Amino acid sequence: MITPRPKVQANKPWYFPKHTIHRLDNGLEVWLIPLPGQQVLDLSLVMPTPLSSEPENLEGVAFLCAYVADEGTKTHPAGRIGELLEDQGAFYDASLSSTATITGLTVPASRLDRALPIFGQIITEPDFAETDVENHKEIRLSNIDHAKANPGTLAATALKQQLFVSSRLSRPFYGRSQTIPQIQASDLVDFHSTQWSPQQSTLIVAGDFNADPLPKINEVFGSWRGHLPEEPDLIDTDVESAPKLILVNRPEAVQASLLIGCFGIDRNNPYWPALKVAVNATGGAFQSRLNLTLREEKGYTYGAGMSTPVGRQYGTVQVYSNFRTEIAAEAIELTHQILAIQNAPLDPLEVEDAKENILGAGPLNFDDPQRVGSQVAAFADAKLPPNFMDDYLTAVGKVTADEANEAYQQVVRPEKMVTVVVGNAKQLEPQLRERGFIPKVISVDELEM
Amino acid sequence: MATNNVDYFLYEAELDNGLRVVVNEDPLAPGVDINLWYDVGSADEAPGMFGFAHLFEHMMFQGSSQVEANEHLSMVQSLGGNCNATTSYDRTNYFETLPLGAFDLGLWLEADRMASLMVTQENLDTQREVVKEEKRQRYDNVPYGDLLIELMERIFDSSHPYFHTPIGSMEDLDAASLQMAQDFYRQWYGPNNAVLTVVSPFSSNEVMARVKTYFGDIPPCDKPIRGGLGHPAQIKGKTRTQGIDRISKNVPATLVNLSWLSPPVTDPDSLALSIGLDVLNGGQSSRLNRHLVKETQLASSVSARDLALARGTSVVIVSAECRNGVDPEVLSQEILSQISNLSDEGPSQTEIDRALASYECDRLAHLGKRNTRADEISRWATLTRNPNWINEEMGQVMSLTPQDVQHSLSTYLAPDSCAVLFYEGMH
Repeated sequence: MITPRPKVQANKPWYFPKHTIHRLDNGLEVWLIPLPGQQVLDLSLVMPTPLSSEPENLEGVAFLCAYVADEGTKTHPAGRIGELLEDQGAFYDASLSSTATITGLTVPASRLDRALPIFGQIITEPDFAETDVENHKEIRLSNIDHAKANPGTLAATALKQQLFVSSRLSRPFYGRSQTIPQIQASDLVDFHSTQWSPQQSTLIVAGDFNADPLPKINEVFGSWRGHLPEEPDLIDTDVESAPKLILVNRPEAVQASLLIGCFGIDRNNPYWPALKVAVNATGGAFQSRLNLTLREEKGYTYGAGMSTPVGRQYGTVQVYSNFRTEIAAEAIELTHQILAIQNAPLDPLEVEDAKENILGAGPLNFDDPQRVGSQVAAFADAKLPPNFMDDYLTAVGKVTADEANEAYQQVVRPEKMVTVVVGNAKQLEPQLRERGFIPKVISVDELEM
Repeated sequence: MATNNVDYFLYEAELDNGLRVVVNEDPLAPGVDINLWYDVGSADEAPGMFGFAHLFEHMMFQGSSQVEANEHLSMVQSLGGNCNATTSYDRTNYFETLPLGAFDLGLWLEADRMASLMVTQENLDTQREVVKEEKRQRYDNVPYGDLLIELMERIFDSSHPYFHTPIGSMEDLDAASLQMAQDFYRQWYGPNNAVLTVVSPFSSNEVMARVKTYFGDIPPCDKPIRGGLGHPAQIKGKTRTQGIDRISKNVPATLVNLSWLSPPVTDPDSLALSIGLDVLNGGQSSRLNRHLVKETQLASSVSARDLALARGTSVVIVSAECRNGVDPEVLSQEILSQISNLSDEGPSQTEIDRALASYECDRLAHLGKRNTRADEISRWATLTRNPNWINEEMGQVMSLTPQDVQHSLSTYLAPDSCAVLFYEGMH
């Protein structure tokens, strides 16, 4: 018996999880986001530490500061602090954006009271012992060797170098092989004391905290003091890119890894919701033009995608895929054709599907502390309010097909795009030239890593 | 202080056609998670069809009697949901997270492809290329991408189902035909070879009524009877006492790999062993990380994991990356002496408490996510027919003693019984 296709029922309106905002006397903002039933809490501490505040010869100091902090504190040196944290089943983690250091704690709600003072010590009184700093420097240098062998990282490095030209963001966030060896433990101490601060920082707690965590947070962080953070350097996003295609030679490659990028817009730009819809339809989703053509129709790739990485001061639009070497030039040419939607504007049905994809995903994506916490941390970093998602989704709901096409064409401009291909140059260069590309071939060693 | 507990109410039922259904009613769920485990994986592939179970997983998105190729994924995405599938050694899982209003549609989509497969030569040819690109991207074009392939081929005899990895061989994929797809489908893709888990705010009655509507009329498949697999007594390749294997490739650093056979994930011993692996290398202050990465600085990183395989045996792999200039033999000796010390003396109560605290945090977070909870339910319903294990496991683990852990380490991680592989850079 054949059962007919069931109809989909309309969903109830959805709102991003509710929050409350509190401010400690030292300036630290606390955003509490209750998520019933989630017994493991996600804490994120977002501290504005613009990468442009690192001295150029010490690039990587912000990274080392965040990664060495949990090795020892003044009260509990030499690894003891890590043991105390792990005794509570808790994990410390850290990441960097162009404008912030984000440190995090994962801990069962039942152990928050005991884990929070330990987390507080890591943030306020790390001891940065020389042996720990030297050890992390060596590990970072070995990770750079790994990055040089990874096609995705090579493509991202080449694209940044081309787009951001000489700004700090053109170089790896985590420091380079020239700068890491120069960093001393005292540089971490300096960076920590001048850049890590409660002022303009935000502590986000998401999950099912059984008691109000604010008193404990005040007890742990209330006496923390620090300087007003620096403003990040402005970024010049009006860059003419020349040459247009960089071919990073990786002789051992069996695929061509493609990354196309240009400057986009940030979340404050009025085009943002319409651009997100257009990018979703063009390349962001499985059923997008890019993936359906390159993967499902042609079988050229395991997948192709398009995204809009965004920071506090800038946005980019990026397109990525990996093709077998033999057909790479053809696939790259086809990718460019698909991206030029002015020749075939998005139709209203595609735009509606993309909108529904974004709107429907809200409640499904934001039901666990980790995803809520990291999304809200990104908002805090960008100086946006925690309920930004609700305003954004309301705006997405109103985007028309014309607006989506207009936003895309304003932002994703062929003449501004940089194409990076990582692969076997000997095989790829002739193919690419045959199709009218003029690749500039560079070696891995020419990338600043 | 609140106590942490895991107490998810599960309703279990079996339809006349053999489909086992587990319902977890979760009033707080914002959507519905549908998760299907088919009891077939790469371990069921005969020689000549290595990689077929995974290729077939791609074919399941290429159309059924009422659903066009790619329509399944496109429809789910255009509702804001997401769906995917994965193939491992032991099973193939299909899952979607959907808005509440699309619950019926989700069940119908899964039922339609359980009841019928409508694929063309063109679909097959395209997906074969997609899978070959997947292999290039994930295994061939990145450093160490083929590590698991190299390890498993050394641990198991070529006739063992775990000898080959799910990604399979390019030659076998080239030989795959539409007829093979239809045969594979008829053998394995019936309701009597599947477990369906639903996590949603709907009541068990509501869920069961819908499941019966969509799945009730699907006939069972001719599921082959599998041969029993005992725990292989020993590693089929060389063990440490017989010598060390080396391969040399274009990678940035040398990886030292030590592998042991371990009890299957369904064996009660695997719990103590897994806590033992946490004591060895679970966190920053665990023994291997502390000794090798921080104190002696012989390694820049180290990992220890059990592959959680189910058929007769599993595998433990300890891997460490040599720092510049470090002799891999020295590093492997250090790892083995750390393991021996722990096996001989046993872990301290503090170490056990720490490992248990970290297990508890991981477990609560893992089950707190509804899609991973649904997958765990399908997993235990498939492997042991006891989905309630998701509730029972934590109690069992939290009562482990240092003696239990010592016993399992000394039983399963004997230094002489491991296989050693140095994956070396060509510098």
